[in-house]
Parts: sequence; C-alpha cells; structure tokens
Amino acid sequence: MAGPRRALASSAQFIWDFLVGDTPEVLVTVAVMVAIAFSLRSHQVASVIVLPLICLSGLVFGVWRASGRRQVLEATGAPDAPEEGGD
Amino acid sequence: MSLLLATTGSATSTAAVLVAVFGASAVEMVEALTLVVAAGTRSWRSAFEGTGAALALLAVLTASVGLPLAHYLPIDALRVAVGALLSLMGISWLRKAILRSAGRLAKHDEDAIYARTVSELGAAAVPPKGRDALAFMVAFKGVMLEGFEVVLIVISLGSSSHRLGPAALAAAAAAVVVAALGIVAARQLSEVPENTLKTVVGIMLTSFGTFWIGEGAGVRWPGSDLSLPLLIGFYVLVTGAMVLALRHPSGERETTPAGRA
Repeated sequence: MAGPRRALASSAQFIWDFLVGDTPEVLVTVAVMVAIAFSLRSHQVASVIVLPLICLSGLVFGVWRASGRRQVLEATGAPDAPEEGGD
Repeated sequence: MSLLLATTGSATSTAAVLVAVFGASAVEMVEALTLVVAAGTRSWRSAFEGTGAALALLAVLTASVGLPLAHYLPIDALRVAVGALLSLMGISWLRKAILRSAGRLAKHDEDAIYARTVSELGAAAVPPKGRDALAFMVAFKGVMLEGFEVVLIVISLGSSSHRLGPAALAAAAAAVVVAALGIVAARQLSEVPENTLKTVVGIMLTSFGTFWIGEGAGVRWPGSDLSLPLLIGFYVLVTGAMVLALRHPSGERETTPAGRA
C-alpha cells in the first residue's frame, strides 16, 4: 500500500514543481483569471479588457518579485538558487 | 463579410497554433538533444535506447490520458482547463524570458550544460559490454521531462482548436529540424536563439491561455479568433516595455552555467 501512495505523492510533487515551482503568484494569477472570466461573462466588454490586465499584473508581479529576490542575493553575496518550474 | 472575417480569423488562429507548437517543441527538443548527445559520449546505443523508451512512454501517455480527455470532456470545460494550463506555462516562460533578456537572470547555456553533463558522466565507469544504465537514464530522463512539456502543449493547443493533427505535425517537424541541426552542428546547440524562441512561445501561450479561459467561461471575444493577434500584440508590447524598463544600464550579465535556472 505504501508503494502506490509514495508513487502518487511523488507524481503530485512532480506536477506541482513542473507547473508551479517557486512561483505561486502565477498560479494565483491564473486562478483569479478563471474566477473573473466566469463572474464577468455577462459583461463582455469588461471581461475582454480585464482578463489581459489581470494576466499582465501577475506577470509584472512575478518579474518584480524575481528581480527583488536577485537584488537581495547580490547584496548578501549568497549564491544563485536554481529556479524551479517550467522553462 | 462575416464569412471572410471568420475565414481570416480561423487561418490566423491555425498559423498561431502551428508557430506556438513548433517554437515550443524546438526549444524543448534542443534541451533534450543536449542531454542525449552528452549521454551518447558514453554509449550511443544506450542513449538511443533511452530516447526510444521515453518517446514510447510519452506516446502511451498521450494516447491513454490526453486523447480521451480531449474527446470526452465538454469543450467549454476543456477550454478553461487548457487556457489555465497554457497561461501557467506561458506566464512562467515569459517571466524567465523577460528576466534573461533584461540581464537579470543567467541565460540557458547548452554548451555549459553539455560540458557539465559529460564531465559528470565521465566520472562513472563504463560497463565493458551490454547496456550502459547511466547513459540510458540520462537520455530517458532528458527526453521524458522535455517531451512531457511538448505533449502538454500539443494536446492543449491542438484539442482546444480542433487542430490536433496539424499541431502534432508541427511538433514532429520541430523534432526533425532539431535532430538535423544536431547531426550537422553536433554540439553547437548554443547557437540556437533559445531566449528569443522562448519569448515568442511565452507570448503565444499566454495569448492562447487568456483567449481560451475567456471562451470557455462564455466570454465572446470581439471578432472571435481575430482577437488573438490583438492579444499577441498586447503581450508583445508589454514584454518589450518590461525588458526595457528592467535592462541594466551597464549591459547584460555574464552567462553562467546555470542549468535550468
């Protein structure tokens, strides 16, 4: 029983690292996009403007967070940590 | 007029799907080929066997999970799921591509990865005969990990737009081109403009992701498929603006053997 459970856990871990890794803000952005798309579907004009803007906000936040982290690493002289997630 | 718009939109969408699949597959296959060639320095036979085993497993995964999902899931639910998946991958690719273009993250250096892998593989003893398990595993893992991403992109983009066949052909064409490049250029894979390809593919995946999350949720984009070029243009502009805003005044950082960083 432990074998399949361990395989399931490692598969779940692989998928989490593959899709999310150390950038949970991307997952939050996509979840917000899906929620907003459903809640604004009757407001066509609003949704076609808001969806790309939410995506942009997530991207800007992700880049800003990574830049900030890099500046801290450079300031403290810590070695670069390899990033996880997709390429 | 509406027929002309629909035809133009459909052709644009097909072209965008093919470009996105070809670009994404080429990027992933360059990375896989680096590891296969490195494994081949120990044993070409084992490296090819590892590659073949990974391709077979990917084909089984595609047939047993991907195709039934595409056939039996309601199209709107499929589009939201695919849109979310493409957005996740697209935003992640774009984020790294922007950081690399702006010099805030070391570029992916295939030559350095090749040299490091060959050095690591060279430290272990080569079996006198039979299969070289280490070369087999390095090739298998490389092709499996990079191929998994290609399979996700082909199934996502192909099934949502009812263009699974052309999408698979585009991925196969990328495999042929990269393999030919590998044969001709051997280890000169670092010449492939990988970050540019990743930027283009990241923009495409993010645009398709945004489009299909909306479509699946019931949003009607103005001009239907013709909204895609507008979304692509929007993301091109913001990507360019972010790279310019972030770029170091002193120029780009040195390239380091950062692996998947």
